[in-house]
Amino acid sequence: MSRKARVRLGVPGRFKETEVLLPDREPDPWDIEADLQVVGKRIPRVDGPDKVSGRARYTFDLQIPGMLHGAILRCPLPHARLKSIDTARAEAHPGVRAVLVLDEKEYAYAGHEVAAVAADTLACAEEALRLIQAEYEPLPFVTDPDQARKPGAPAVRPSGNVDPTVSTSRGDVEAAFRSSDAVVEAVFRTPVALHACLEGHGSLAKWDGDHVTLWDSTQAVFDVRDSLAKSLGIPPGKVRVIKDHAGGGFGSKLQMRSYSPIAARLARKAAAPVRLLLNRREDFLVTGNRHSSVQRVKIAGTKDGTLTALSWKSYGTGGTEGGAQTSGPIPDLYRFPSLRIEEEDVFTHAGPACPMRAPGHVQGMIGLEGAIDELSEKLGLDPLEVRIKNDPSDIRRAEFRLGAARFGWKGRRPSGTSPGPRKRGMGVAGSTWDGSGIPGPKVEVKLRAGGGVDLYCGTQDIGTGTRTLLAQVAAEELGLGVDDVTVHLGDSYFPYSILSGGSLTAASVTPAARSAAAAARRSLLDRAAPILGVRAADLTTSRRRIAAPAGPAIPWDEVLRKVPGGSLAGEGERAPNFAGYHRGTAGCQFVEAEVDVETGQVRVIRVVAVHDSGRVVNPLLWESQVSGGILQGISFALLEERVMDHRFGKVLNPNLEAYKVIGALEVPEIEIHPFPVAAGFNNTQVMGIGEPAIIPTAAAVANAVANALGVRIYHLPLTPDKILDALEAPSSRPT
Amino acid sequence: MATRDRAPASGRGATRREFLTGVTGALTAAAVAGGKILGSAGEGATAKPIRGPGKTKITIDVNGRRHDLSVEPRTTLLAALREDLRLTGTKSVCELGQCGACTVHLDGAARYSCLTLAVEADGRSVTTIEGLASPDGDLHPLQAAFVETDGLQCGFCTPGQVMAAAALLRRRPDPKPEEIRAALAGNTCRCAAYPKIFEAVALAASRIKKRS
Repeated sequence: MSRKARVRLGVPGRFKETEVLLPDREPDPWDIEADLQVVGKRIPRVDGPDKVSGRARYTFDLQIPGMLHGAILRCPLPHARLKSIDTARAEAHPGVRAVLVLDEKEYAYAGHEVAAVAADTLACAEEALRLIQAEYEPLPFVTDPDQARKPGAPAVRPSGNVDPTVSTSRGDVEAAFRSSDAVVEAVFRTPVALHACLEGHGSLAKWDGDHVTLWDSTQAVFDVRDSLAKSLGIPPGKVRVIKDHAGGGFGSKLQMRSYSPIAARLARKAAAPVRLLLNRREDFLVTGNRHSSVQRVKIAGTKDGTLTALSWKSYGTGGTEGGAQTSGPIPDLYRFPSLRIEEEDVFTHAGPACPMRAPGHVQGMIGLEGAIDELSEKLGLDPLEVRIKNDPSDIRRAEFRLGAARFGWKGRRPSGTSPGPRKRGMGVAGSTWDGSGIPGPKVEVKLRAGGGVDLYCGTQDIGTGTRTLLAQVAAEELGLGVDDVTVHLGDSYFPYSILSGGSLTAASVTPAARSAAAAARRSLLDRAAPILGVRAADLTTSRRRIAAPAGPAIPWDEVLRKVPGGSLAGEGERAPNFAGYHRGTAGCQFVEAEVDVETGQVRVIRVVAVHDSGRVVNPLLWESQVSGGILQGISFALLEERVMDHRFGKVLNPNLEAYKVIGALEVPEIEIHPFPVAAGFNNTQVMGIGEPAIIPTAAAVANAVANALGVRIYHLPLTPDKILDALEAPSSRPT
Repeated sequence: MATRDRAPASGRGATRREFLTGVTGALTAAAVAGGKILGSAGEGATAKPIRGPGKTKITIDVNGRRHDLSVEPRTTLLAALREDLRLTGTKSVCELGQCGACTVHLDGAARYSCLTLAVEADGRSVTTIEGLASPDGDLHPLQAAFVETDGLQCGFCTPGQVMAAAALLRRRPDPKPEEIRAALAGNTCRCAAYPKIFEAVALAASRIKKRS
């Protein structure tokens, strides 16, 4: 059953009433300018006090009685076959309770799991690993993607090292190149980067009979539950996965990894709970990374700044894993009448990649936004005006103008004209990301006699503030304060939810929470109606009291105490997206950077960001998301790179000293503007922000550096050595 | 961005830089006492008998309570706090002095507990994040300010950030913005909550000043 509702959609200042179809029981979407009491307010995150006082328990903090400590023996070679393994000495080592040799006997990257140990202490487990005698047959390997593409390179997969993934075109690209006023071609490179979430990866497994509980630092309790059940050959109903607090994820905890079933198998073998936490080095080798990319970009335009053609040829390596695409945003961000995209995955003997905050988009923006700047330069046009001219999104065009005004884009100098040894430059880039959420998540809201509202949802809060947003939305619907609602999440015994990634969470779970709270309220008012002698539809509730239009209000408890069990529950499920205003969130960022041409140091001075993410449930937390994305983007542009020694197939910097991430001294001034589009995809009108926030940053930094120097560095990160090299040979555009 | 390496020493008992400098010194002059390398002033190598390799008894005052522990000499203060005393607010991330998540106070000064052996803390006083709030549970002004400004996201680095900031405010009650940054330069926040962390420290400083 569905019904019609009227909703105002559109961009600020130009909202337009539109009719949308809603499921029968779905609450009407809150109007984008509705006068809400809890939603839209700067409310400190509800788990803040636990986190600042050390009370918040993360997976890495858990200890249970009788718990053993697990450790994993890893293959030191990038490609090898296990010839023999002798675990006798490890098994005899005092304190060792279980030794496990894994089934796989051929390893395609250094760090691959070979065997595992559970022991009374971690030190004892690590000693036992050294007592395992494993003999490996070294096999030919290749870790450099450029080498891996060559004929005769050591094979990573039987089907070959190169896998064409995308091949699409529209229009006659070659004809457009011939007839355009200017054509620019360049090759852009981005490195393998690491998620480096501070809480690493790990599990604690405990068996009760044939049932296993796994505490896991994950972004996806249900996915881990199903994968673990499959791996152990037991039904998902025999597996419970719990994650209370998580110390970051950024995409690296979206899937089960081998340490989880290893912990469960060790625990079964040792007949005791096993905690298996990866150390920082292991974390950096085997738990995922952002794939590299080599983007050959050819772009053309006419004198008036109209883009005419784009050729996008890109490949990258995610080690033993595919998915190295960069063209995701390319067809949508700017209009290209003719377009050709060809992409390849290149497999190498290196740790597998996985999604990392805005996968592919962060990389793709480097090539696309860099090429647009170069073309604008060649045409003698303002690169911002070229973007606005070719941008199909009315939202982003408005954002570009707002951002430019706030930033002072008019003060941008022609490239290479900044005087003195410290040269300043300005750059800009845009972003597009779906962010509208998906159906599926379920929420249960319980109103309890004697006080308290509990909200249950098997989603995860990985630091984005999901707990707080859920509490706000339920509180708003029930006429309560945020402190009246206790949110329980991160447990596969709770109602189903999706993984926390892809900027899906807020847009997918807050509408379910609102539906659940509305259902609980309806149930409450239905029971209150006969007591008050009025129709339920005429009743309202706030502050745990139910009021009739005329006459006295009664407390919730008067109704709830009459219900068996003393509580009323409401359930809600996220409906499929309604027909919304504009698919895809839009954003843009402006960056001013300073380059010291004597040292090659780059310093980002300030950033202005404008982002649309529908309704902002909590501006305080939303700003944290945006500013965190910006700073991670600067970090990617200037500092981050996993360094591989291709001669030995080993990662040289698997630690936080040599793998640099942004710190307190490198933080610029940041100005953030929400652009509250009434998107209309769901009943809260929330859209995601996690990924959009990082998408434009690195590209805008690279463009600012090019503007400062009058020379572009095509290879991230923009480290001093590359800056100084580029200044010595300004005409050496790589081809 | 090598500026980070030029950060002022920030007044800790031993910053990573000083520790590394000390190690280099030790390699060239083998006579340098282990205790001095790690910055525990006044505790020469000959002052106490050699311990280990088995367990040895130590007494540490943690958050105002005396704890008698039996630890191996290789046990870090971090491991003793987390595993033996179950004070898991102090986080373990790199175990190499590279991130600051394990920052505690040793005799009032900020220390990386992963670079401090438990035996070094013998007879000394340690404050962890669990000991920062008042005994009746009221948050320390810094903790309250971190919550209020949202100076955190995942929260995993937060105890270390708060402890580093608390050490700063003890020695510089009215820090300049650049002093706040310098004091936190050894504490990595991967969520990059830095702007609001700076705001939190400045807010707490102003409130503490008003109160006293």
